[in-house]
Amino acid sequence: MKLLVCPLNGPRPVTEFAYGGEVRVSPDPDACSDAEWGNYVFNRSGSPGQKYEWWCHAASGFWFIALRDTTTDLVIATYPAEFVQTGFSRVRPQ
Amino acid sequence: MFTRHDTLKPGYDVVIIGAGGHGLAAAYYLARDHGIQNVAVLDKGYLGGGNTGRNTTIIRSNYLTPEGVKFYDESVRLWQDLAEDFDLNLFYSTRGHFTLAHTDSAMRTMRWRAEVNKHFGVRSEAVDAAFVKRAIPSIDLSCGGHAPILGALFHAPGAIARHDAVAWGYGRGADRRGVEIHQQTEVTGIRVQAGRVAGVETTRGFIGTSRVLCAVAGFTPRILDMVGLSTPIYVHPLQAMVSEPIKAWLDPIVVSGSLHVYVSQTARGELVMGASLDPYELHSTRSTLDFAENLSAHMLDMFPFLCEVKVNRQWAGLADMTPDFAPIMGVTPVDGFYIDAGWGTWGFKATPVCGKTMSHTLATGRNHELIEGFTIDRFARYQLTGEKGAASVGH
Amino acid sequence: MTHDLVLQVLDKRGCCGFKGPRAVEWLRDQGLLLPTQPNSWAISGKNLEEVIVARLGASEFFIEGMVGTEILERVASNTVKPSGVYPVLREDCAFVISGTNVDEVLAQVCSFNFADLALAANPVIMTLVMDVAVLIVPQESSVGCRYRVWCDPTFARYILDGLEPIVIEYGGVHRETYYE
Repeated sequence: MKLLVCPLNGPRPVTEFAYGGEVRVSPDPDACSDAEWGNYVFNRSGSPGQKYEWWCHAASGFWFIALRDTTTDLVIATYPAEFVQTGFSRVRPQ
Repeated sequence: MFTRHDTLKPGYDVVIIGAGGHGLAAAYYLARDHGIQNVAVLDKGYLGGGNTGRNTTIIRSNYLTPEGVKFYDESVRLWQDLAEDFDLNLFYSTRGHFTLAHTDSAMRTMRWRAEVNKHFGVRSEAVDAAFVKRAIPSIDLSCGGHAPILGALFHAPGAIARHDAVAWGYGRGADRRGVEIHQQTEVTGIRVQAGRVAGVETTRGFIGTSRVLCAVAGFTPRILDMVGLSTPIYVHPLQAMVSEPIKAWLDPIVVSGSLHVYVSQTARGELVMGASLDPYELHSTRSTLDFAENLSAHMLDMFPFLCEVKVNRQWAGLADMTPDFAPIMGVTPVDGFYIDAGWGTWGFKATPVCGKTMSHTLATGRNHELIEGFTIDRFARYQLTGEKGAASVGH
Repeated sequence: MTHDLVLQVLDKRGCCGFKGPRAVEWLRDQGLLLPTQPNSWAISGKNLEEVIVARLGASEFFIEGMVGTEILERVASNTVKPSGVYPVLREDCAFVISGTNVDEVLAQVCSFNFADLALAANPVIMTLVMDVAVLIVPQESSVGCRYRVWCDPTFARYILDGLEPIVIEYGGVHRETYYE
C-alpha cells in the first residue's frame, strides 16, 4: 500500500487522502480578460513533472501541499497550507 | 502483416503521431477515401500498445448530448461492417448493454438518456429490475442489500470487439495502401515556422511535413507542449483486470455507476472488468492492490457466486481526461497541427468515426461537422459539451 | 472462555469542539488541561468529572466527558466567547473496543498500524475505519489497550455492524447499549 506522509498525521496510506489538484494562482477576476479567466478555469499543465499539489487527509480534514513527481509518484516534500502565502511565489513556475 | 520500413523519407504529406487505433484509422481513411497515401504513422512504442490494447473493448452510443449521440452512433454503424472492410475477424459481438441504476436520481438520468437516444434513432430503453433479472439471471438484484438495483438503461446495440485486431486491421489496410508505419520512432519536437507546422523531429531524424495529427492519448500534453498549446487535459491512470476463463454465463455488458464496475465476458470466457479512474494524476501504468480489492468487492456485490474465481491479469492505461468528458478534436490555432485527444476513458468505441472525421479534417483543413461540438476552442467560449452523465461509471 | 475482547457503545457521553487562534487561551481559562502536542490528548478532572481533551492539529480541540459533567456543560453552553474562538459542532457517537486481539480486529477495517503506537505519548489518531472518518483515543488499561472511537452518529450503525462479526470471529462480544 502506498504511503503519503501528512505533515500533521504522519505516514498514512494514500487511500486516506483526497487529491486536490495542482496549486494554481488565480488571476484577478476584475482585471483579467475573459480569455485569461477561461485559461485559468479550464487549462491545466498536463505534462508530467514535479508539481505542487493540494492534498487533504480525509480523516482529519487537514489540507496541505505536496511536491510530487507525477511520473514516479514520489513525494519530494510536503508543506502546510500556509506555504501558498509564504513560499509558493518563490518556487512556482512562471 | 506489415511492411517494415528501414528508413524514414525526408518528408510526408501527413505525419500521424501515435500508432494506436485512432491514428491508424485516420491513416487508413486518408489513404482509402481521400487519396492521401504519402503518410507516416510514428509510434515511440509498438503498434496498438497504448490504450488501444488496454481498454475494456466496450462499444456503445447511449450518450447524453446530441453531439455525443450522433457521433458515437455513426461509430457503431461503422463498426458493423468493419471486419468485412478489413477481411479480418474483429470478433465483433453485439451483446446488449445495461447501465444499472441503484438510485432514483440515476433512474432519472437513464430515462433522460433513453429519450435523447431515441430522438436520434439510437435503441435505448429505461427498463425495470425484473427485465435486468431476466437478461442476467445470476445477478443479485439487492447487491448485498446496500445498493439494490431499481432498473437500468438497456442499450441493445452495445457490443464488444477484439481490440488488438482493430489496430491490426486499420494498420494492415493503411499499410497495403502505401502508408508507412514506423514503430520505435519517438517524436522529440515539432518544428513550427510562422505559425505553420514545418516538420517533426524524431529519434530517427527530421521529417518535413505540413500536416501533423496528434493521436497519443495519455501523452497528449507532452506533444502539445512542443507546439505551445494549452488544453484542460489531465492524465490519470485507468486500471482494468481480467479473470480466469470460465463457462459462458454473462451475455450482456453490465455497467454500474454506483458500484464503479463495468464487466463483460469475452468469447474465451474471461471476465473483463474495469472501474473508475485512479484518484490522482500519474503518468505511470503501474497496478495497485487497492484497485483490485475495490473492484472485486463490487463485483461480488452483484455476482456473489464469483467468490472463488481468480483474477489473472491487471494493467493500466493513461487516460487523457477533459472537464466535460467529451474529446478534443480537429484543427488548432497552429496551422497544420491537428488533434484527436481527450479520449480519457471512452476512446475505443470511437475509433472508426475518429478515423473518418479526422481524415476528412486533415484532407480538407476544415472540421468535419460531426466533431464541431468537440473543438479545442470550446473552453475559451465557455461552451462545454457535458458528457459526464453518460460516463460508464462515476468518476 | 472469558470474553475480554469487547465492543461496546459508550452511553451518555457528551462532546463539543472549539478552534481558532485564541482557543488555547480561552479553554485554559475555563479550567481545562490542554495537551501541548498536536494529535495528543489529556485528562482534566477525576472519576465522574473526568473530561478528555484531544488536540486535533494546532488549534482545534475536541472535548468529551459524561453528560452532566460540570466543566463539559459549562464550556459547551457558554455562548459568550471572545473573538478568535469558534465552536465546532460535534455530535459524535462514541464506542470502545478493547481486549486481546483488538489490533487484529482493527487491522481488518483500517489501514493504520495500531500495533506500533507509543501509548506513553497519549496519541490521538484520526483515520478511516471502513472509509468513515473516526477519532481514536488509545488508553492503557488492565486488559491491554483500550480504544475509544468517535464517529459521526449517522455512520455508527454501519461501523458497529461491520465490526461486530469481526469481533465475534476473534472470540469477543458486542455488548449492545443504547446509542441512538
